[in-house]
Amino acid sequence: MWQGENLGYSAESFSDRLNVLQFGIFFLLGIISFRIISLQVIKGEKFRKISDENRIVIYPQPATRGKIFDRNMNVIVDNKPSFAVLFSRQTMEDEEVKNVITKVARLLSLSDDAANALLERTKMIPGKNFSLLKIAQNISKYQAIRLAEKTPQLPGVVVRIEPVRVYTLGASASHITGYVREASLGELSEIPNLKAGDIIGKNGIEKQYDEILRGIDGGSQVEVNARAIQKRILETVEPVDGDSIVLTIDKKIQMALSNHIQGHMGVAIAIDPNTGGILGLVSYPDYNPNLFISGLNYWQMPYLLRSEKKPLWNRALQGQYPPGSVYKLVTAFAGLESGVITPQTIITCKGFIELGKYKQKFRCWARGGHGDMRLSEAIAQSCDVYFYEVGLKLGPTKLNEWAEKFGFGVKTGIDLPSEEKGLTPDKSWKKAKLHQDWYDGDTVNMSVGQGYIWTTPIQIAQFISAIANDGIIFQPHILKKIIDASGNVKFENVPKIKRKLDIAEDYLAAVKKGMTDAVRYGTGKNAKVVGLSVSGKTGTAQNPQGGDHAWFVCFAPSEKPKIALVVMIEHGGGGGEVAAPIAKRMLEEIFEKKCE
Amino acid sequence: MKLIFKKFDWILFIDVLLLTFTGLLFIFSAQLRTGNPMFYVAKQSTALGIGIAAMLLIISIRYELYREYTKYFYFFAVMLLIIVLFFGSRVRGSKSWFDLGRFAFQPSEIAKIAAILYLAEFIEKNRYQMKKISKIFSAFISASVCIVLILLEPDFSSASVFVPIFLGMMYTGGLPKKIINFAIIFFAITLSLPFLEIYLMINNFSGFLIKNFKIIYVCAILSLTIFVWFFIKFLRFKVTFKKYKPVILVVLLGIISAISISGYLKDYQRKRMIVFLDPSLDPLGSGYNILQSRIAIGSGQLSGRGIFQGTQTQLGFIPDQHTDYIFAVLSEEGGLIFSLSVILLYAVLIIRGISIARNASDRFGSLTAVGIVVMFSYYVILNLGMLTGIMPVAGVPLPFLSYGGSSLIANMLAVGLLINIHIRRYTY
Repeated sequence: MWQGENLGYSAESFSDRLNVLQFGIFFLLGIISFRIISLQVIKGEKFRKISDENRIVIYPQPATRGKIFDRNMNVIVDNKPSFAVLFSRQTMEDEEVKNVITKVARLLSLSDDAANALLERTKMIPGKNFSLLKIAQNISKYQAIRLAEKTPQLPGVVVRIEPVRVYTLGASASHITGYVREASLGELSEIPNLKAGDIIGKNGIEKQYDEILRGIDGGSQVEVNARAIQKRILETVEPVDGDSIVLTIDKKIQMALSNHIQGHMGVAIAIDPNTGGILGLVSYPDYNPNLFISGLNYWQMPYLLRSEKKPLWNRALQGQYPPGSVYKLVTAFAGLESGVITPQTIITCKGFIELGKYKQKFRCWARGGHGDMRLSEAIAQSCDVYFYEVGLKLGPTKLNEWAEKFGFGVKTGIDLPSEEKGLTPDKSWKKAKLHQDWYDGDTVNMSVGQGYIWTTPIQIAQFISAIANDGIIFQPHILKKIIDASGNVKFENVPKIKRKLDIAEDYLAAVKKGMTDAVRYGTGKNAKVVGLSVSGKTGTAQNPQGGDHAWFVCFAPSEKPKIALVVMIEHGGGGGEVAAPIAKRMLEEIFEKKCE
Repeated sequence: MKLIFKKFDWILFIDVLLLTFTGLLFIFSAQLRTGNPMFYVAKQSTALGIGIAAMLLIISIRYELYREYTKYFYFFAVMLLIIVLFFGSRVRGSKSWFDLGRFAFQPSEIAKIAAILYLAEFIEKNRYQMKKISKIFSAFISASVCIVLILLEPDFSSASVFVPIFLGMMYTGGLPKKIINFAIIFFAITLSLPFLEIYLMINNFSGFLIKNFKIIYVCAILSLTIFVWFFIKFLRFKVTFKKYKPVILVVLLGIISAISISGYLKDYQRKRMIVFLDPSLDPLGSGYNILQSRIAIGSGQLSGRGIFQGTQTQLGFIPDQHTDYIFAVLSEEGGLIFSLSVILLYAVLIIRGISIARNASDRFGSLTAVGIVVMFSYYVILNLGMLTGIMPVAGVPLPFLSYGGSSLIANMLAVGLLINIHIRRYTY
C-alpha cells in the first residue's frame, strides 16, 4: 500500500503523519472529556445548586407594621396603602438599565440629580440580578397609573401597593411616635434579620418597639425564566404582621398639651400618678413624622437635622435643665425626714442670708423678706431663705441622698429612646470635674435647685407623681399593652413600683398643703382653675445659657390626684408668670373646666 | 450495486444517523418552551432526507471521477462566495446566506468540501514537489481565497475552519518538516500574544504595561530571542547565524501578524477573549452565555435532569439552544451518560475517517478523508471546548447535532465522500 511509503524527502510516511494527526485530535478530545467529567461529576453538586438559585427568585412580601393606639384605642399611627416602584435589572445591560431608569425618572418627573442618584442605586442591586430594589415609594395615584400603563416598555419595573405609615396626630405626638425610615447600612449590620430596603423605626415608640411592630417578612420562591417571567410559585411564606401597641397616652390629654405648648420652646408631660403611665408628652418644637414618609424636600431636611431649635430632639428626656424652685420640694422632704425641721419649724426670712467670713449674701427672690415662715407657707411663697437654711442644716450629702431616693441623677427608665440621666452634684463630682472644693454656697444653691444640678423633665414628672401618690415611685412608662392583629392581648404592662419612700403622713400633708396654697394664693396662683383643686409649685431656673427656664409642676385634683403635670418653658421667664398659665389652660382643657 | 451495499460503511452511517437523531431529540427539547417544538425538528428532518439522498448520489459515482472536476467545483464555490457578497441576505450582521424562499443555504458549507477536494487533487498532482515553496504557496493561495471571501461576509468562525483543513492536509500531504515547525512557531506567536496582552490587561498586571501595551511585543521579541539563543548554547549545537536567520524571521513575522490581529480585533472579539480568560468578569454581558452553559452542563451531573426537564434549558437560560449550545441542553438533560456517549460517537466518526484515509486506494482519497476528518474534529473540539470554557467563544455549530439545514446537508455530503472512498478502497 502507498500509505506506508516514505514521503520522498522525509523519512516519515503518510501513515506516520496520520498517526500524529490522530493523536493530536484524540488528545484534545480527551482533555474535553476530562473537563466534562470534572464539570458534571466533581463540580456537579455545586453547579446544580447554582442552577437552582439561577431560576429561583425570592419575591419578598413585606409584613405590615403594627399600629399604635392610645389608651382609649384611638389610632395614633396607622397604615395606608401607597404605590411603590420596584426594579430588578435581570439580564439587562447597563445601557438598557440606564434607558429604563431614565424613562421612569421622567414619568415620576424627577430632577436630573434625583435620576442620577437612582441610576447609582441600580448599580448596587444586592445579590442576584433578579432581586427587587425599591426605587420610589409613595408616588401619586396618577404617576402609578402612568407607570403601570408604560410597564410593557419598561422591563424589570414593577408597581406594587405597599402599606406606608400615617401619623394621625402628626406633629402633635411626634416625640412619642418617632418616625420610620429605610434602614441605613450601619443598622443593617447591627440589627439582625434586616434586609436592605427594610423600614425601621428611627425614634420614639417606632424605635423603642421596632422589633414588635416590624413583624416578619414573608415571600414567595418563584421560578423564573431567563427573562424573569414568573413560571410557577415553588413556595410561599406568609408574612407575619407586626403586633400593635397600645400606649398609656390619652389622645385628648396629648392634644391639650400640644395645643397649649405651641409657640413656646419647651416641654409638657402629663403622668398618671397612680400607675406611672405617661398620659401625654410633648416637646416643642416638634416635627411632622409624615414628612419622612412622603419624602423630605430640600429645605425640610436641613431644618430638621441642623436647626438651632433641634426639632428632632426630645426635650422631655434629652433636655437637662436646672429645676429651680421645684427642687425645694426635695429639700423639704429631706429636711423633714432627716429631722432637721418639722412642719411647725419657723424660720425667719430677712430677704437674704450671709455665708462665710466674707459675708457673701444669698438673697431671697422677695427682696424685703417673707418674715416668719412655716414649711407650708415657705412652699406656697417659694421662700428661698427658708430652704437655704434647711439646706445648710442638711448638708449636701443628706440632700443628695433624698434626691437619689426621688430618682434624680439616674435615668427613669421610661420606654422611650435616648434618655439622659441629669446630674446631682456632690463633693467628689466637683473635685473631679471642676477641681474645686465644695462650699456652703454650693449647698445653698442646690437646696433651691440652682448651681450645678441638672434634671430632665421626665425626672421631675416622676418626682411630682411620687408626691401626688404619697411617696410611691412608679416606673414611668408609655406602653400599656401589646395586641396582635386580631386584637388579642399578648402582653399587658402592669404598673411597677420602683420604690416606696414611707414618708410620714403629716409631712406629706404639710408639703401638699404648701402646694395647694401656692396655687390658691402663692406663686402659682396663675394656674388656678375654677372648679378644680390644683396643687402646684413654680420654678424659675437661672441658667448661664440665657433667660430663666420657667417651670410649673402640679397635680390635680388635689384630694385624689388623677394627673400630675410638668410644664417647662426653655428660657421662658418666671415660672409663675409663664409656665403656670400654660398649665392652667392645659388643665382646663383636660378637665373640661372652660367656664371663664 | 450489490457490491456497494456490501462494502458500505454501515458503522459510519449508523454513527452519523445516531448523532442526527440525538440532535433532533434535543432540538425538540430546546424548542419546547416556544410552544412549537416541531418547527425546527421538521426542517431538520427534511434536511436530513435531502442530505441522505445527496449522500447516496455522491456514493453512486466512483470518487476517482471527481478528480477531473475538482477545479470546476472549486471555481463554482468561489463564484458562489463572491455572489453571496452581493446578493446574499444578511443574518446577524453577516451576508453569508442565499435566501431561496423556503430554503436558505450557506455557500461556505459547499466551499469547504470543494476546497478539500481541490487541495487533495492539487497535492496528489504535485506529490513529488511539495518541497517547493512555489507549490506550497499556490496551495496556500487557494485556501486563502476562500478564507478572505468568507471573512468579507464577515463570518469569522466559518472562515477559520479552512486553516486546520489546509494545515492538516498539507501536513499529511508531505510538507517538509522545517516548514511545519516554522508554521507552528508562527501560529503559536500569532495566537498567544493577543491573549497574553488581554490577560495582562484584565489582571491589571501593571499600569505601565497596559498603557504601553506594545511594549509587551518588544519584551516578547527580546525574551524569546534570548531564550532560544540560550537554549541552543545549552545544547551546544553548532549553529551558524545563517541557519538561525529563518527562525528569527518567522518569529518576527509572527509578532507582526499578532500586532495586526490585535489591532484589527473587533470589540466583541476582544470581549470574547476577556470572557474566555475570566467569564465572571462580565457575568451578565459577554460572560453570560459561557457561564450559563457551564452551569447547565455541570448541573446535569451523572444522569441529568431528565429529558425535557432541564431547568437551564426550559427556562431559557442557555442561549442559542438549538444551534451552537445544543450540547449544553444535552448535558443538562441527559447528564454525563449522554455527553460522553456523544463524544464517543464523534470518536467513532473520527476513527472511521482516519481508517478510511489509511486504507484508501489513492492519495486523492486519503487526503480528502483527512480534510473531512479535520473539519469534523475542528468543529467538535472548538464547540465543546467553548461550552466547557476551555476555549474562547467562537460561534461554531456541532456537526449533525446543531440545527442547521445546509450544514447538515454539507456534512452528509462529506460523509458520502468518506463512504465512497471506503467502498472503492480495493479497486486499483
